[in-house]
Amino acid sequence: MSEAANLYGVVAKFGSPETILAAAQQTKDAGYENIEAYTPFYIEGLDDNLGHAPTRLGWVVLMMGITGLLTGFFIQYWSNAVFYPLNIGGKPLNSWPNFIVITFECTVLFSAFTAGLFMLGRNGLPRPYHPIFNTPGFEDATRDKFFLCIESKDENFELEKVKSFLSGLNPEDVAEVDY
Amino acid sequence: MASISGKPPFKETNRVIVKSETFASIDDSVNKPIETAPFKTPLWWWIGFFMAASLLGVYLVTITMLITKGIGIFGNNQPVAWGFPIINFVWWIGIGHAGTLISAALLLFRQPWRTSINRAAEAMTIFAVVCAGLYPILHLGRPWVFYWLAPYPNTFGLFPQFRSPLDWDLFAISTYASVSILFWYIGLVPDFATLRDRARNTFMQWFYSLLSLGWNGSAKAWQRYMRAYLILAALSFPLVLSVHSTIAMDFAVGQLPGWNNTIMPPYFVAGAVFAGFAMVNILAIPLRKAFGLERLITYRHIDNSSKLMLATGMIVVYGYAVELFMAWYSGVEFERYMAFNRVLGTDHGWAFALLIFCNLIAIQPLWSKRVRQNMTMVFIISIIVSIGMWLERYVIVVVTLTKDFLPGSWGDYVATFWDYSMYLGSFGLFFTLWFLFIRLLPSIATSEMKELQHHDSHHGSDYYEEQRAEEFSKKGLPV
Amino acid sequence: MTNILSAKLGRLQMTGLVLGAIGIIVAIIMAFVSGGQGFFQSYLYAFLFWTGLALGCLILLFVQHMAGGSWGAMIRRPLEAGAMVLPVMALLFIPILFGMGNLYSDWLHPHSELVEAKIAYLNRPFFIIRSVIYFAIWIFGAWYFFSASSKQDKVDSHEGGRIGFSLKRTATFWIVIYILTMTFAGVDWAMSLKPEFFSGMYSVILMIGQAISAMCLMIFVMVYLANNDKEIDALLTSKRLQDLGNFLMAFTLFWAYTSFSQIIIIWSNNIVETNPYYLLRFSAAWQVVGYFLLIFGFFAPFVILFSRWVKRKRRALVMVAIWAVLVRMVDLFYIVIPNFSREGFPLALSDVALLVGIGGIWIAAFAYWLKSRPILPLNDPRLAHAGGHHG
Repeated sequence: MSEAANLYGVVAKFGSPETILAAAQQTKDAGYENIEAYTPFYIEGLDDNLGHAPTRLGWVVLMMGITGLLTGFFIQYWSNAVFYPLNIGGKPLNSWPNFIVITFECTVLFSAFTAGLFMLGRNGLPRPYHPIFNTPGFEDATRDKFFLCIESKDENFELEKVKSFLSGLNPEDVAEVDY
Repeated sequence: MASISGKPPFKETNRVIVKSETFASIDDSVNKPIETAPFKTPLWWWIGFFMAASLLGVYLVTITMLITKGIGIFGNNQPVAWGFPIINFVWWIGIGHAGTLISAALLLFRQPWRTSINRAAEAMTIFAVVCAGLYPILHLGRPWVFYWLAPYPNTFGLFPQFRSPLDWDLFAISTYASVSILFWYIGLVPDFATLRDRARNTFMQWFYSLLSLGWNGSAKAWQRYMRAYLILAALSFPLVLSVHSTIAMDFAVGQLPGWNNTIMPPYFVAGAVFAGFAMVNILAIPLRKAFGLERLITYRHIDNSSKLMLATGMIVVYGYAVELFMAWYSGVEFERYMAFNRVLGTDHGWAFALLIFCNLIAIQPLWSKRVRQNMTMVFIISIIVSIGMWLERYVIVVVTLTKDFLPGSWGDYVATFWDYSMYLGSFGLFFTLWFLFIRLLPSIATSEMKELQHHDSHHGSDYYEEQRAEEFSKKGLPV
Repeated sequence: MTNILSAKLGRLQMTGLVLGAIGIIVAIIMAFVSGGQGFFQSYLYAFLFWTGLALGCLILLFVQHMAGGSWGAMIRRPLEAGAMVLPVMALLFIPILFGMGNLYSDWLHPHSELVEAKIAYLNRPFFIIRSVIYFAIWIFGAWYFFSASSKQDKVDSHEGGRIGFSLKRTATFWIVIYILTMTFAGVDWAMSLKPEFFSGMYSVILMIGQAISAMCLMIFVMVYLANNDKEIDALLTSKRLQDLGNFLMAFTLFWAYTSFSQIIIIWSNNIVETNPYYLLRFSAAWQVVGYFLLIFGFFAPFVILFSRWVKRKRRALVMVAIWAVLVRMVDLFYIVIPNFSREGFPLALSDVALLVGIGGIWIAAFAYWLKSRPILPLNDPRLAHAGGHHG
């Protein structure tokens, strides 16, 4: 395992999306599993190349959407037809056509906030500190540089090997990053 | 790299994204204006902000008057119980819809040109919804109890009457406002991170890192982010439809001739988008000049949004035509009289004539490329369209209400000083927020622009794109 | 096109003709057995469905030209073939003229002031003139795009690109024309069955229904072709298939939106001229169909289409498309048939017989046009780099 207990990982810096895509693929192929890339924008296919599983966000949103749908309808049905029956314009107490709009709005409200907040939560945000921020020059990770990190918790992590492996990928820079 | 002042003259283009842009140059041109020190803020910003803030003052005075004196300060009466407040409410919320459409629908349809204007358009949406949402609340008479519209357990043991579209409005608009803010904020998070990393003083760093929530741009985070973003887009699209449809139903479920029309929902939506794109043009044309963003918001963007303005405008006119045809076709005396009074009535016929001029005739020049490529023309047409869409709501609200069924209960409507001051004041609210936005937040989504740049560099240009360029250069238009 | 595919389409054409003959013969026998009454009702229903399919192909043809994108170039030929069925549908319109006295007697012989007020529009000569105009315009549009497309095959790729570009522009105008004509066609053919009823949304609902059925047709035609043709097989990537699925989903959503809007407005404002429309359709006998449409016509397909897997899997998407076409038939049934106040169980054998009969003829004509030319437009610039992964 890691030589220094304090080591978070080794980070290589790349200059273009193409190089990091290739580097990610090679790193995964070399058998490393705890790897992560940091990029200024979404690069299609990078998550595949790193071996990340697809997100299950869609299903969570669907479940919460159905919950919102039922909640929205139930509030209206229960309050206008059961709890305090209101006869308006001779319409049936359960005037479902008139309940559709609010039901729909509740569905959207629930699903949208699930999508947004679940995404932030699963990404561990808000999170003021992250060891990757210790990488030298990391402020360019939100500008025009692309970083690839092999974390020290990886089973195959051996500092020298990892460093020479990353150097072989044609990076602009390789650095050890502490916690 | 182009700087703000004394930059070399830039040749206008019709490309969605200029080939020579790099990730860094996008970053710089968008974020430079925001990083300017407070005392170096350009003069035009101060003038604009000051004017907007003054109008905001007018707004606050009007609200104070309204709360102290009551709704009687407005021209509303019987039978015209919905005067300016509802006209302006519908007008403002309509403007908002183009923003959501640009950011959501055009994302789903993979239209690359949406990317450089979506941020500003979403901001416009939120501010317009704020302006709109205040109207019905203030119009209630007792605005401080507006929460009675929401279902909550209370000592009266009462619940709202859910069969009324007025209550649907509450749900539709509050959902719309909150989802729009969420969508906007999620889109901003990576850009806040960029600003955080660019920050040169502690205050800015602190401010933007708080807003960025500690975003680090890891691939896994981006994966979830994109999925969430797409889901939000997919949800926002039908949401927009539902919001303006609900507003259309405020009218359409009534029995009044001129209101009880089933075509109302889609044509209201089209009208909203129509007015919204006009507002996008009104805001984007000065913005690109003032901040030197011509390289990112190009002629192409204005051209496309004008095309959409034309298309939605034609749908709106279709709505008018169907409305009038159905009024005749119904064979019902009141419906037919409504149509007659709307078009040829002596007291308000002018409004319809002017509306046809603004919404049908004035947009026809947009079929021509030359007009769409002329920023001044587009700007003027957009202003005419905004006026036209206001008149449309005037016709729908006032003209319909003044003469309904029994001549004995007909009436007239005259707006008062406070009606106008409240309308002007709401511009103050809108533009105050707008000026703060362009000064403090990135008005173009940089991370999305970079992605687009990356994507663009991998795809040969479209065949039609070349055809277009060829034709443009023949006509002497920017390529 | 391979010979095998051509032969298969030829067989399809024969099958269509045979089915058409059987269906129509059965319907005619039914008409003699039970009196002519039901025949024209069923005929109008079947005619509206299949004309709608052809018109759906026409409008999607315009839309894909306007929108650009390789998904459109890929389905162009089937759309053109579908739109070219319109001349056949114009011929099949003639029997309706003989059935007018039966179908439209409420306004041919008005017995209320309300209907008398509109005889300036609803009268026999004007009705016929309008219908002739609609078909003339539509057939011209279909022919124009069809022949320009054939011409594109014969020229070089540069000239082909120019033709494509000009079609892209013309398409915008044609969309306007289609919407205008279809608005009135919907009023004439279907809405005037109950002349007291009026609704601005009515024709819009018919239009979106047409687009859905045409999109479904495209889904299974493309999958069918992909199984028989290597080139199409390579083109019909999961991403492009997903595009088609997304369109189906969006159209379904829009159909629900327009239908709900009409229901909510008419049902809420409760006006004596319009409300009978939904009073009838919400009555005990018909509401089952309404609930079916709500649950199985909208919710189920919508939730299923939510899954990316379904939209990317050929067999799965074809199943959904077939289902959606069946829903179209039910929806049109729900729009048209209650007007006739049939007694007892509303579905008549002649409805099915004529749906199959006219459908057979439709399919035969479609197969004829489809096999007459290469299955992909040769010089469509959008296909030039369609091999890539983006649509």
